[in-house]
Amino acid sequence: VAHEIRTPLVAMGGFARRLAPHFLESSPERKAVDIIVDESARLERLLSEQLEFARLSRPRPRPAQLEGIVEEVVELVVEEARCRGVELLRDFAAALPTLLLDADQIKQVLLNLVQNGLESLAGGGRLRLSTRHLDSHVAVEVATDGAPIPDAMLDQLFVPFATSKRGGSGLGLAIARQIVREHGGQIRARSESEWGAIFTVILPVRHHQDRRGFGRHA
Amino acid sequence: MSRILIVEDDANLSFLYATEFEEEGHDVETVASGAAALDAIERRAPDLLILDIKMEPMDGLEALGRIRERHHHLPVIINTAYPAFKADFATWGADAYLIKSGDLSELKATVRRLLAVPPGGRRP
Repeated sequence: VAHEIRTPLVAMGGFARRLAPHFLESSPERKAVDIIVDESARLERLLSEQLEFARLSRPRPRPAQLEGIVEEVVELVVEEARCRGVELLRDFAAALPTLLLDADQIKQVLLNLVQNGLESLAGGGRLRLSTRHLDSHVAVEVATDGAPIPDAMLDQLFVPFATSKRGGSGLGLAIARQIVREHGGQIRARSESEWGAIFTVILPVRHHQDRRGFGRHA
Repeated sequence: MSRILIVEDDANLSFLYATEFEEEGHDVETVASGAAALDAIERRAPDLLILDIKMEPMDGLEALGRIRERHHHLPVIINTAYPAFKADFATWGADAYLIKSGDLSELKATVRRLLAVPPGGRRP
């Protein structure tokens, strides 16, 4: 059904984007068209997340550089961060080992965390992306200096449909956890005094021939 | 200006894509099935193909297999509502796999990218 919904939704969103420039930016008609654009885009995202969760594929691991994936994520959000008044900080380890992972899936995880972070910083702020090498693991952290995550919510963040975010599907972090687990890793959230929300993705360093552990949570 | 063939069985989306790419200065033809795509390719020798997957009477993948028998270097973008097959598109002989969106910026960027590569420079 989701596929059948997407086609008319794409048409509505696409034509609304075509109409938008024909109205003055300050006019009520333009605001109405912009709402159609935004809401159709939101429904597209919800559909994608529902489908992704329903059929989450097992990772297809290949040797990959985590720095490259993180940089791709930064490139995707740099404009949105600027518009939201969020300063992007990078704190990357000097040299990370090559990892065996599904780059598309890990990119999806990090992009989800970064976009959540940007959306949480409604009035601007700082978002820090950092990487570390910890013996047999590497860690990527996404930290924001907005409001802390309430203790009661920390346990619920990764549970499907437990979201408190307006317009969210409640699946983004659940999908992220599923993907990270499929890679034999962990994802955690915590709060500190300076950084209200810190999400950490921990991934194992594997030898290229060692694919054990992939998909064990499938 | 390039010749773009759009293979899309939803009339509204076909109209949307045609309008957008004509405004970008391309010569656009739209067809609604894989069978019609094969005919249009022989007739017009397009520079690039935007291909939906799920169509009747011949779906996009069957059409793509037949296209690749004779047109190895024709750039093909699979543009679909089905995200499930993204990992497989290269084995089918497509150059890109996009999920349909009302925001056409990624589709347009992919068209520009593929048209900028010389024939034969995309895949081995």
